[in-house]
Amino acid sequence: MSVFIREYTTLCASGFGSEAFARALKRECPPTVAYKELKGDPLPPPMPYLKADLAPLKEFVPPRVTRRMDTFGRIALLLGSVLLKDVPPEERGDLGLIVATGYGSFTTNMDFLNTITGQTHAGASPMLFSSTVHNSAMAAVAIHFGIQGPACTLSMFEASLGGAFVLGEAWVASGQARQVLVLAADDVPHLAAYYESRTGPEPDPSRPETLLAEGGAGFLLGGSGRLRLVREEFRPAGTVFGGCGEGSISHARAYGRIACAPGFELGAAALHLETGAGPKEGIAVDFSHPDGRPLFYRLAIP
Amino acid sequence: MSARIAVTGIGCLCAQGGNGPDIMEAIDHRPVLPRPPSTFTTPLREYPVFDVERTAERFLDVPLDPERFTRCVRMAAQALEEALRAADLAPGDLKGRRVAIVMGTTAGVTLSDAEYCKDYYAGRSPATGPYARFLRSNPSLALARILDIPAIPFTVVNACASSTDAVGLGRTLLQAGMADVAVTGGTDEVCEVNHTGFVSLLIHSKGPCRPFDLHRDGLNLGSGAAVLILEREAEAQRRGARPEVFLTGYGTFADGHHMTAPHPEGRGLRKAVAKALAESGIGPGDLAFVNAHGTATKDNDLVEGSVFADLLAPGTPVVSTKGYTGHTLGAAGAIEAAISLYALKRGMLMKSAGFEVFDASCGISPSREPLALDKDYFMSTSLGFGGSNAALVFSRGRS
Repeated sequence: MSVFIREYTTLCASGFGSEAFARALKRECPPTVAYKELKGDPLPPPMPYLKADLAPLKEFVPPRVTRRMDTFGRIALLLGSVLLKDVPPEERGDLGLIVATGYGSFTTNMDFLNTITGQTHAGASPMLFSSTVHNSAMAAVAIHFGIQGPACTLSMFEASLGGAFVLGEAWVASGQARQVLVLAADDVPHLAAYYESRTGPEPDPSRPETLLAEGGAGFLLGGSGRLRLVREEFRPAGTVFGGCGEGSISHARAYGRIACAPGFELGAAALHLETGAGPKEGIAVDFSHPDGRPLFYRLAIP
Repeated sequence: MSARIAVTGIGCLCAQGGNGPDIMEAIDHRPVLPRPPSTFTTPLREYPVFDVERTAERFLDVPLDPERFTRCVRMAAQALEEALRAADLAPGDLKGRRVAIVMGTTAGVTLSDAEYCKDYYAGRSPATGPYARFLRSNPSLALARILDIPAIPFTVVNACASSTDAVGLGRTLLQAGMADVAVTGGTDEVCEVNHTGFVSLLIHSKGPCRPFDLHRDGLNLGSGAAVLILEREAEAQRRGARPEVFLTGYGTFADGHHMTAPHPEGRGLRKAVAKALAESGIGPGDLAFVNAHGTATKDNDLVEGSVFADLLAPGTPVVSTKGYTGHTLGAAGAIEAAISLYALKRGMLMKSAGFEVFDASCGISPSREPLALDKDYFMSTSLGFGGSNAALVFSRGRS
């Protein structure tokens, strides 16, 4: 069974879109390091992380639409906007939509908790609560683009995007959707940074691959397209992007530590192949999770 | 022709009991009522919930240490053990097969330990144990670890439709030949975040909920978990199983309409219901009953009423089991499927707790008394925040 990538894009601290990502892979544009102020007594030092620039979103979506949207939702909406810009509105209604996320709306959950104060809980914000569900980004994308096909949000940390591709492949193969929009998105929640500050190694801003990162990767899948994806249940021979097996090649320096890392590796593989830099037999990308079965997708030009 | 998907094992726990037989016994003879929250601290004690106050301490020989796993995982493991036993499967039997673990949840993917969060934001530098537990307790990944099998994990977070979609997704994977066994279901818990949130939305009742009733005034939250083991019928038979119930159809569609409210005409739900019926190869008149989402909120019950009036055969019995379980959020669809399967297998539908006065605008009149079932199919529907809609159709019959 195989499925095809019709379009793809990435958003990370090195920039937005395939061209920026290609430059990042060549180390021509270093990722933006920002600092998250943490709470504590004594006050911990600010935590460096890789911050994605969401300014391009306003080129696609009016700010009034996104003014109450969290970072997770904005990332998904930006990726979706790029991937759907050439899809006519009449074709969007039947699209399948899958959002893959490590943390989902965790940040909004914590923000909501922060509104619960006092003896009556009277300050609790119903507006915030309605965005605490992890499918809030999926809903925002579906509402904005009028998507009414099958829709699903998956959240199992680093296993999320692998699951999304398996599900997308199943939907296309079974005819449940002719095209499936797969969006992987994550921000850096405060509590994740706090946990990292207490348990992780000393963060080194000069080594972006060690830093928590926000961003995402998006793919429009279908029964035909620019690049063929073939699922493999064992580690294939040849070049493998991502993962941590022997011979694996990682490009995390361009995008940092993020649950949807395989999405960036898939983007890197696509760029290698489309620019003629990759091997003819294609490049496999490791989507496996330590607690899961081996899962690889081999990417090739059809 | 697509493979027929058998439900070879069912496990369930909710406020009415810790396993299937106890739940049905309680529903029939001594249903418990919602109570003030007791598993977390809140000033909102006048909003009662259907909580699960005790969970199993072990899964087979694996300790389910509360310091190590969240309540969502412990409940899921308890339901899983019952389901495996019913399927006559041991974890070792799964090792040579491609297993997908597909669990729906909402609170199971958030840090439900509100005190920890408050301590952090107050600058009290809490220890990292609760966060490590959260990282360890993603439902599908945690069940894979507890089972000690390299599964394909899926944690579905489609709000209140999560576990209906999880069960349906398991079916999709089996039919596509991408898995051999699907451990499907859902798990969720009432916690300070969701309890306060639903109260703040003004849709949590202060009394027992009354689905589809004229005087309904909101839901009661609930905790619980359910697991359905799915296999292709032929493979289940080959290992000696004799399936009695089947998952025959599934539909899932987005409304693409509003963050919290369902589409007023039930756009996504209509498509989900129609697809689940079509995949089953049956018409509306073949349904023995429908277990509706039936939350007892004004909007939800109105939308379901409108859709069912158009799509169901007149007189099709409708039940909402949320009067027994509360709204168990991401676990609701799986728990309702499990309870409905127990009812289908015994041929007797329970009455719809909480319903007394017909609401003409809603148009649904759930059963006030237990009902003998003379047809072989039922449907279970779910709607969720974000415009998620899903429907499952099950049948009974011998292989």
